[in-house]
Amino acid sequence: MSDIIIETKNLTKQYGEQKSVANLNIHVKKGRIYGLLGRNGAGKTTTMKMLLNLTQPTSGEVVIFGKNIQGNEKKILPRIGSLIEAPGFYPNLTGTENLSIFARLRGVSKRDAISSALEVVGLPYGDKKLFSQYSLGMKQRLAIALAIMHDPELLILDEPINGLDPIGIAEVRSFIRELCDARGKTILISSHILSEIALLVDDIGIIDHGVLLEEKSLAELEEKNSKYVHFIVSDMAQAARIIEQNFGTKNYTVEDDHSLRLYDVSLPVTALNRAFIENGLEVAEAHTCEDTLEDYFKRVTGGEGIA
Amino acid sequence: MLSIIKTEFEKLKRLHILLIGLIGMAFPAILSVFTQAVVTEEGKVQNFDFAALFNSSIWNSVTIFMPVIFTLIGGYLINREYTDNTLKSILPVPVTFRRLLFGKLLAIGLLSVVFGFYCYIITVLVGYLSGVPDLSVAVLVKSLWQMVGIAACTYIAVLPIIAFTSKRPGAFMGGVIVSFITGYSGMFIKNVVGRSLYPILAGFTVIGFDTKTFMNTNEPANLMLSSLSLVVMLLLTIMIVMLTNLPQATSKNQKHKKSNIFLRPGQRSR
Repeated sequence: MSDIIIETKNLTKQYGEQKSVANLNIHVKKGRIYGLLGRNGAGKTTTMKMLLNLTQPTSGEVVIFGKNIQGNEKKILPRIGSLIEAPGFYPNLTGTENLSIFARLRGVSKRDAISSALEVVGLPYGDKKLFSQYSLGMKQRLAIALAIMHDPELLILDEPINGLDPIGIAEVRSFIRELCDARGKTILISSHILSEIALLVDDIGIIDHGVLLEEKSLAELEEKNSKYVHFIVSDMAQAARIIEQNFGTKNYTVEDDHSLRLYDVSLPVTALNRAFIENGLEVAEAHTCEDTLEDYFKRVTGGEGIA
Repeated sequence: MLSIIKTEFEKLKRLHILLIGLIGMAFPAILSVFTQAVVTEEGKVQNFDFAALFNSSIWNSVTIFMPVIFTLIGGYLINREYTDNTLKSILPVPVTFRRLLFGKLLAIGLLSVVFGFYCYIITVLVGYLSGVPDLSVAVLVKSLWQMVGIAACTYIAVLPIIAFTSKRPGAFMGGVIVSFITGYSGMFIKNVVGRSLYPILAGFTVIGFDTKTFMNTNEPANLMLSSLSLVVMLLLTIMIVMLTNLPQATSKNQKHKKSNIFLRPGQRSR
């Protein structure tokens, strides 16, 4: 069997004149966490809806578990757990009652499936609290419980950490990682919280205006990310002259009157530091930096719209 | 399909719309006794016994209450899947929208029969408490069949309205108005063919209800035509559901979030 669990082939969704998703080709590998990264409105949710057959593509194909989703829904969808946008449950029922309804519809036979799923997300089983009284974080946890309740092979999670507090985010991150590492689940996750994606995923797809700009493993991205030495000195112009004359490189950029980035990381920082001091410069900071996922995202998407 | 029907009943728990149904379905009996008490001597039913009370309650149910309540509750139960945003959790099960709709319509049909039975119990209670005479086993048995039967027939009569309005979120309130007009208009149809074919009135013929007191007509309606009318309603409903597709958004939904990448303060300053 192929190593690719989800593959889209020129997947396109058009609303009137506007293309929400354009010729998207993503590849989610078995047993890995794939992060679909993009701004709000980039096309992440539309893509996920097409993967789950909730929205029909204008053109292109969705292949999951080696089969086209069209015509194979009954075979494919029971093997998927999903969370799309805000959680949708019945407000007049408790969390357990809500899960019980979906367990019946899914034909879940395991007796403790509901309590186990609730335990994973840290919600009580048999609690009397109605869904309408849940906080946003509790709603999100219940939606994750619904996604994992039937022990699916593939999870499609659209912004699963929305509304969670920092501890909740760490917990969810931890059990998503555990689902992948210990139970071999394949996970497609979308988020606009870059730091969380960076901590969680194995592979990344960057989507912007419906177009997939990059698809790489996190390791490849880290290799591609530029490293540099960041100096904050009393006189940037003189520091630049010293670098050029004493060390023979112009591979640096000036940030302002006091700071510069030296991209030639092969030069010894101690020697540079000594040269600056011997020439009467004060060195406030000198440290090696690496581009973050955020920097990379900005570079790939042009940086527009970053908060 | 059985699992869908079962879950539909589970979803009814603590649902306030059912209270409207329970209150509404108590009115036919109350209205019958009240009308008998306040109407002029000429308008009064001469021998207002339990049989007459049941007849009056059935007539009020069909022409006013049942079409409205069945369409309201049925429409609401379908519409809430849109408003509670639960379709995105049900469809990937997978349960197709058509299958869900069939399951819902069957469950609402069973609920309508339960409402018919409830109306029957209320009629017995109201009659007993207001001192209506001549309660016999024969009357109880016949009235039970008629009340439950008319609930099922009236539901079938309004089924196409419920099915049609389920195609669009929020359209069910329009269906309630149409059902009210349909039910109320039935009172003015006097000729035999009209009474036989008009879906709301067809139920009267099927359950063997004597409309003479209420419509001033002596000629009985045609059972065959009435049965055919209800079968046509069922077929029409099946056709509507088979032609129903889940409404697809014509424009991209706008999320009510900032259209920005969220960065923590620490990240922003870096």
